[in-house]
Amino acid sequence: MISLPHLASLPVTPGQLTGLLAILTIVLMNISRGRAWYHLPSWEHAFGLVGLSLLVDGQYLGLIDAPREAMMGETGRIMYVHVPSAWLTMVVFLFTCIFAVGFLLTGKRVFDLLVESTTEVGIILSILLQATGMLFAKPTWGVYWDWDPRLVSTTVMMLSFMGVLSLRAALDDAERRATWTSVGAILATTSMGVTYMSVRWWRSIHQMQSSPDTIAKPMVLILRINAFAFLFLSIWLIARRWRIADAQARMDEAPPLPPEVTV
Amino acid sequence: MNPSDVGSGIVSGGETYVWASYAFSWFLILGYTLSLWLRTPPGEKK
Repeated sequence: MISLPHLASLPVTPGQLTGLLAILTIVLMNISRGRAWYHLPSWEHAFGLVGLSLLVDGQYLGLIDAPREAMMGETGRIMYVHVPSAWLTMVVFLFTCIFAVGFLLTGKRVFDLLVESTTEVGIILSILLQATGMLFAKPTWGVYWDWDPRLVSTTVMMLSFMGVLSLRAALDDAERRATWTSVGAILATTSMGVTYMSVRWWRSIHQMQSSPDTIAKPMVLILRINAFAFLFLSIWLIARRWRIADAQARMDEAPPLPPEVTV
Repeated sequence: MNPSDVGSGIVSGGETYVWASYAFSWFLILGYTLSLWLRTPPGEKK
């Protein structure tokens, strides 16, 4: 791709440098606001920092260090974004289902807010999955889109979860909104199983799932670094989205202001 | 179709799609992070 030094030969990796700059920014912000220099405003920022550093290094490895793929050539480098986004889409939507079941069993608001947060982050990851998949398909299959079982089932999965958020936005009553969101999320999760199995059930142009035994060791390592980057960033994004949902729920529950007294 | 038209069977080129994929991942993650920041109520921005 481009002639840059391998990551192992650098005194400081780009990811470490990004992490140090981010820590320096936090320290300077703390000092300017009169707080202790080591103060971390929220626990999730630690996940964001690690995720960002891993992503920078993971993408450097994917673009520079990774060997050329035997059949796909340079295009194979898209794998280091596409595959981790697919894994994390599945993981995040699986947690959406777990939280939805948790809400239906306990009725606790925290589960409802987590369903909302994980659904939104899962949709973002599935958009990344779809976009990188299309950019992968064009040079390898010759087309951006094909009515292939894997592509169609992934799109149905994404649209199902978008439908869950649309349903949520359409309901005013908090109790009904939470219940129907959870029911919708559980129903949408069934499409996830179809997506996963689509390459086995039908004749698909998309390859079957690989395993560490079928991929070269240096490629597995880079895939894992990028997967952990996406995992840590997803935890950070879900936590940030949860804080917005929690603040909104508290505002909705607050008693209305007394009518203004006029003389 | 001539056998010579088949080529080596190895995908050549495609660097533009690689750059587009990596750039889009940053665009999406940074864009979504910005949207979360803008949607966070002032009291929760920490």
